Amino acid sequence: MDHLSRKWTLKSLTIGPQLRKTNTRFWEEAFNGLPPLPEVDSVTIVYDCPLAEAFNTGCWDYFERVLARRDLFPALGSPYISIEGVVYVHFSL
Amino acid sequence: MGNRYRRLIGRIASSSLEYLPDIVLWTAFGCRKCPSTDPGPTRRLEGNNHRARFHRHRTWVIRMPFLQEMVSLIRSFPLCNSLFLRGCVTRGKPAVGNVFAGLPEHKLSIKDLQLSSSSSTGTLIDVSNLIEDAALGVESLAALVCDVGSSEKTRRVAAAVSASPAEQFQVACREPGGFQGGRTPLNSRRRRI
Repeated sequence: MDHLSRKWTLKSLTIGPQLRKTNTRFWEEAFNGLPPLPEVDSVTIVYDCPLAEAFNTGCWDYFERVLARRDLFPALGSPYISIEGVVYVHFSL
Repeated sequence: MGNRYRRLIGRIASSSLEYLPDIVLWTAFGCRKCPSTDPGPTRRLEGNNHRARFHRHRTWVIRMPFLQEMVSLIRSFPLCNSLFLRGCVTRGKPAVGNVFAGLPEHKLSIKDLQLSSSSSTGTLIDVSNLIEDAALGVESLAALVCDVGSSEKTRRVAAAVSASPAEQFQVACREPGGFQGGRTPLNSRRRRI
């Protein structure tokens, strides 16, 4: 079992681009036991969608729930959404 | 040993590459037609010709079809601290043996590690395995950008980077097979975070 360090000093997290679907279960398994990340002030989720049918928000349930947790991401503010060919959903202070 | 590697090793031996700070390696798959994940500056400099070349940005761009050879080559640059692997698909073990087996093996201290997958089919290099196989020191890692193919691999990479001082972490997947769920059945899901 690979444990995430409780002393993770991450400041910036980017998810994607991803060309295929990921769901809540995928990210729950990937980030199970995620420690508090008090220095993360920027999270970007990138949907690169060359094909319309590839567009997928299956992972959104997970990030919507987790990024709202102030005990895990106390430095994160409201989402800023940018659409430029690909869709960037950017959370920052 | 193929002529292409004879020429490559000749150039390595004739230059001071032990001082090389940045390495960009490509696998044979995915570099033939410049996949969309190619880095812009390198692509402009190299065009579609990805023969080994040491250009003015002090970066080697080398086609590397085999993981074993790639690891040996990486370990021969002791001062390299930025490593970029593009199109990380390998064809297994080389039929003629590892042509870089004779190069010195060092432990590298990596600050910037970036690995991208190829758009072609194949096997993604496991980042955590690469760190181990290539004896990459991540004690001073500042940024990790990588492609992964499953939640299990994502977790292993996250665990590796969480133990380093890395401040930037990007996880992506450009492989047609895409992200895949882990092996854990839904009814045995672990505790939610």
